[in-house]
This record gives sequence, C-alpha cells and structure tokens, in this order.
Amino acid sequence: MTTIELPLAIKRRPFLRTATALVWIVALAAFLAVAQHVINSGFVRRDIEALQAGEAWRTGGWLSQLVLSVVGLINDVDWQQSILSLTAAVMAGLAFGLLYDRMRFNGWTILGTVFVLAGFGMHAQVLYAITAQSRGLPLYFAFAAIIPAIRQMEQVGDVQSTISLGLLMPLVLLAGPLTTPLIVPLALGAALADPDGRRDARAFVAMLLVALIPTLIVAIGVVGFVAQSGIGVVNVIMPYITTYGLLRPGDYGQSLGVLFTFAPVAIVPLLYLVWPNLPERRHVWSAIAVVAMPLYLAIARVTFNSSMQAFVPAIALMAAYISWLCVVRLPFALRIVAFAILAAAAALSWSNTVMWEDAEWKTALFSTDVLSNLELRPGV
Amino acid sequence: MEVSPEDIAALDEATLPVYSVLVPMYKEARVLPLLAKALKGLDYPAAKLEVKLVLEEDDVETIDAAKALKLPGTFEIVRVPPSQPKTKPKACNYALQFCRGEFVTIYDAEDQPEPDQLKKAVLAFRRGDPRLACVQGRLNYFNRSENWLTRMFTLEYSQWFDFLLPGLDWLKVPIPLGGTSNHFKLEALREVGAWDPYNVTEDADLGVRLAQEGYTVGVINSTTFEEANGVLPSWIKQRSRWIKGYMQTWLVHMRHPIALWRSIGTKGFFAFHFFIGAPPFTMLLAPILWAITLMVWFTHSFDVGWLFPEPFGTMALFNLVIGNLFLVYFGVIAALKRKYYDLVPVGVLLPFYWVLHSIAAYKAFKQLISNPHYWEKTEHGTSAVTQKTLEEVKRAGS
Repeated sequence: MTTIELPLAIKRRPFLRTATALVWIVALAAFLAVAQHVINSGFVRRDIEALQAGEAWRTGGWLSQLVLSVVGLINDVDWQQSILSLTAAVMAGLAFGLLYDRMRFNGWTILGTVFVLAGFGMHAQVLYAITAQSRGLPLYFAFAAIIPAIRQMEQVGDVQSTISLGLLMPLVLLAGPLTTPLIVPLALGAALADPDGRRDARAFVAMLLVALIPTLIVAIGVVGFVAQSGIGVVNVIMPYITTYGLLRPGDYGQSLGVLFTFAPVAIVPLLYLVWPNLPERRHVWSAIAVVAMPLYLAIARVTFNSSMQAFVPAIALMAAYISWLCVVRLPFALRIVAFAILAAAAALSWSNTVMWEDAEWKTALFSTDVLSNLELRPGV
Repeated sequence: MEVSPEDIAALDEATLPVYSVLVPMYKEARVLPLLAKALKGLDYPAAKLEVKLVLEEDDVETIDAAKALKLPGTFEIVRVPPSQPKTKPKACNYALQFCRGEFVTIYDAEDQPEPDQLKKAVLAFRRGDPRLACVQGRLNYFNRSENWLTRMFTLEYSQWFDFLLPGLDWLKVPIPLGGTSNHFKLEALREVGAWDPYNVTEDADLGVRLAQEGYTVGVINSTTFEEANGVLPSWIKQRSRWIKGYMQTWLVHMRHPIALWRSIGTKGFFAFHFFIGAPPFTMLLAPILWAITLMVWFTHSFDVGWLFPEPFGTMALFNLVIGNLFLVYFGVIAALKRKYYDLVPVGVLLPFYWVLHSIAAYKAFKQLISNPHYWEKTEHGTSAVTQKTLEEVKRAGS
C-alpha cells in the first residue's frame, strides 16, 4: 500500500497570547494609576472642563462626542473623571498590547519592543492624551489603524486589502471634520493600488465604491441616530460648516514647528525611503503616509477654522509612526536610529515648555500629595 | 478548506478512490450535451469514476437523448421506476444503491464544475476530521451579466457560498447544503438515511441531519458554475420551493426541539434558527415592517411609537439602516472578491431583490399549507449563454 505525504494544516495563531495580554494589563494598570494619581492630586481633566464649558466639545469628532455625551449624563465630577480615565486607559492598554504583539511578530526583540513602547508611553503628550485630554484618541487610533492597511495594499495589493482599508476609513470620518477630507485620497489610492483598478474603469469604480461604502454607511448611521435622538440633522453638518466655511490662515511655522519638535520621528520613514539594502522590498506609500497625514493636519488646523490644539498632529504622527514600526522591516542600524529618535522625542516633549505646556497637569503628575490623600481614606 | 493547485499536483492518482457522480434529471434532454462536456472534462482517472444519469423511467425523451450521445463507459443511465413522491431526492435515493464509490457527489443538469473539484474533495476528506462526512463546493453562475435578475442572483450566491457557508464551517454549526456539488462519504450518507424524499430542500435538511449524527461538513475552494434563473416567473417558482423547503426543514426538526438541541448543541441550535428558521420568517415579516415604516415616514399620521419603545426604537432603526446597508455591502464585496466588477455598482439595488424574496415567501407559505411536497421544477437551458454554448458543443461534435 502506498502512503502519501499530505501538506500540514496551517496552525491557527492563538487569539490572545500570554505576553500580549500581560503587556495590555500592565499598560492598562500603569495608565490608570497615573490618571488616577493626577486626578487625586486635584487636576480636573481637560475633557471635563470642556464638557462643563458649554457646547465647545461638540467638534464633530463623533466617537469622542458619544463618550462625552454618555459621561455628561452623570452628575458627579469624580465619577466623570474616573470613567473617562478608565475608558482612555483601557483603550490605550489594548493598543499597547496589540503594538507589542505586532512588533514581536515583525521580528523585534522583547527588549527592543519594550523600549520602544516605553519610549512612546513616556512621551509627555502621549501621556497627556491618555490621562488629561482624551478627545483626540479616536484620531490617533484612526491614523494608527490606517498605516498597516496602506502597507497591506502595497505588500499584498489584493481585493481584501481594499476591503480592509475601506472598513477602517469610517474611523477617519468619526475622528473629526478636519480628518474627513483624507478619505478622498485614501479611497482613490485604494482604487488605484489594485492592478485591475489601474487597467479597467469598471474595476476602478468597483474598488472606489467598496472603499467608500463603509464610510457612507457610518455617515448615514450618524445622521439617522442624530435625527432619532432629536438633536437635529443640522448639528451633524454644523461642525463641517464651521470648520470649512471660513479660511483662517494662521501661523504655519509654529504649527509645523510643534509637529516636528515633538515628533522628530518623522525622519525615520523618510530615511527608510532612501536607505540602501533594506531587508524587504521598499514600500514607499505607507512610509509617506506616516508623515503626510499628520503634516496635512498641522497645515489644515491653521488653514481652516479648527479648535484642534497644536500638539495633536504630533501625537497623530507618533501613533502612525509606532504603528508603522509594527509592519515595516528595518535594518538593525535604522532600528537603533528609530529608537534613539523616539527617546529624543520623549525627552523633548518634557523639556520644551515654550511650544507646549500644561503646568497644572505636570504639577499634579509630579505631586506627592497623593500619599496624604490616601491616608485620609478609610482603611488606609 | 483550502486546497492549492500544488496539493493537487502532488496527488498520486493511483491512490485515488472510486468516485460516484449522480446527475438527477427530468425532461432536460436539450442540456445533456453541455452536461456531458462538463463531466468529461473532470480531472479524475476514468477507471475510478462512475457517472450515473438518474432519469425517470417515463422520461423517454431524455433517455433517448442520452443514448444518442454515445457517452463513454464511465457514464451509466439509472432508470427510476415511477413512484411517489416524484422528487429529486427520491430519485437520488434510488440511484444510491447502485453506487460503488467511496465518495459520491451530485450535479445538476446544467452544472459546470471546475475540473479538479473531485480531487480537491478527496484531499479535503483525507485532511479533514474523521467525522467529516460532506464537503460542499461553492456555487456560482456563468450567465451573471444576462439581466438584472441574474446579476442579483450571482451577488446572492457569491455572498452565500463564498462568505456565509465558509463562516458556518468555521463556526462548526450545521450547514444548509446547496443543491449540487455536495460531496459525501458514501458510508456516512447511507448511515444517516440519505435524502428525505418529501423535503423540497432535501440538501438543507441533510446538512442538519448530518450534524445531528455528529458528522461535520466543510466547504472547499472549488466552484461549480450553474445557470442563473433569469426569468422572473421561473425565479419565483424556484425560490418559493427553496423557502418552502426551509420552512419544512425547520418544522420537521422542531417537532422535537429538546432532542434537536441535545444532538447539535447550543451553538448549532441557535445557528439552525438563524440560518434555516429565521430567513423565511423575516421574508414574510419584512413587507409588513416596510409598509409601517413608509406609512409613518410619508403620512406622519400613523403613530406606532408604542410598538417601538426605547431602546427598541433605536435598535430597529439600527437594523433598518446599518443592518440593511451592511448586507448590501457584503453582497458587493462578495462580487469584488470574485472580480465581478460589473456587479459592484448594481449591488446597491439588492434591497429591491429582497422584495422578490418576500413575494416568493408568501407563495411558499401558501403552498406549505396547500401542497407541501409539490416540487416546483426549475427550467434549465433558458439562458442565452447556455444556448450559445450548446450550439458550440453541437458544432464541435458534428
């Protein structure tokens, strides 16, 4: 009797690896501890201030608005602060766990991964975004999610890549009015990335539709739910009219200065574009997107009527950069550069108080009063 | 279950088992040359292949046409003696006693399976769990661009066979088998009692019974191309039979719900309701809900707020808007995955196609009560693509 050799079945990866879960839990605990420490030291989160100050928080960032609306239903400020901190810490913790998993999968050593994530987590504005003002989180997540999708389109370039990017694009819409125009080049890029899309007009239209439909569905959903809740459809359109109805050219130098001072990591994707002998085929579009999307934000925020703060594009760039590190294969020397610049960015974020400063937050963060506060609590 | 061309190339043909192919037909003499061409194109050793044309004894026209084709020795005519019910599963059950293959599959008269489908099925069985009793090939259409109905039908099939069934396979829940291109281990098929001759979607019913007996079903990456029904009255007839069959299957198995739950488990039990029981029910219910929604939106004179207290009102709105739009989206990406680019823009018209489903569902519901075991025969060979291919085959033959 003849025996035949059968190909081995592909082993399914575990849904959640122990190390990934551990990183998630440690990151969650660390962020939550810092956030709670800041609150215990008397700091009022900037989100809560915005919520109490009237309608200014309705900026068209639908995800953060939804969270703030729910939090706004609670009367107690302490509870509001704790819920926001917990939400931000859980999301950030999850993201760190995922980043760890992806970096390890992409050949980074445990030590290298931990250093990179620690450098990222210790960046002043990143920490600020998690513990003090989390309205920008959906934007950072959107940028972090889009980069691997663009990379997949370059690397694989199949229909599934277009579908994946299309499914992530609603995040760009939900992040706010200023990011919404990015949907157009992304959708066009998705349609043109496929070889059939470049050759055949029908394929181009099909790809474009598939890239856009999820965003359209979410947009229709937002309109539907706003109408259902009695807020009025005009309130959906208003943030866009406010943003784009008025050109308000501002200080471009200052905006770009903040971007590249707090996120000098932009140099690494640019170096990647020219670095000789890469251990992989050079994928330029995802590297360009890491810099281009935050650059657009930095320019747009001072061109249009936006309340976006100057440091937001810098964190967006950091998020896109870290996400890019998870999917790119860099030579060892460039990895060293990547980490060194990340460490420099973290150092600059604390030391450069001319471009950005929130003294109250820093005072609360470095306060030791928390110990006395704890002593006041029953049972401690 | 993915089988690559490299896996096929690595197969030693000497180790392949005998494979039986059943082709039940009734008054379909004109598409016989097409079928013969497709089956002769199967990449499987002739010595190990037996094709049985399962014909009703009174269908003299098809029997004569089959004889006139002078088919090779792998083909054999099985005459089914007249008896009731006169259904496809009854004919297949009769033919099963003559099969000697380790595996058996069914094709319809107009089917065009991919040549390596039998080999892929064999490999899937060899690699699969010992309890794997059936692998389902994917079905799709060769005449998709003929008219709006064939386009919609193709979108639906692409979604069903390329996305939903592999999803059910992944979840390990009962799979409602498609009408053709299901490949069985003959032994397991006999053990479960083969097909229910009274059920008009005997395939869906068999999927549930296999699961009840502890067997599993997989989906392979091989496609059989069929003729999409592009004639509206004929489409309604065919669809009403399918929906009636789903209703029958649900009713039959729900005679003993606890026994069913015990035999297929909690996950399987829910899947059974979601994918076999719920579709006919939603098709019946949908027009009523559409009517209410339209009345409220356009007349503003009809208050149904009491029907949808919060949060149910928001949930209903979510289902209507997001749920339906995502269903459209899934149809569209199924087309894109098959590179049917022309179907993507028309995919947004899928909701109109669902209206036709509801019409067929009401016909099915009426027939379930008045004539439950009546088999609405689907007429094959009406497509212009089929006609053209037939002419080519005839020309090549002459």
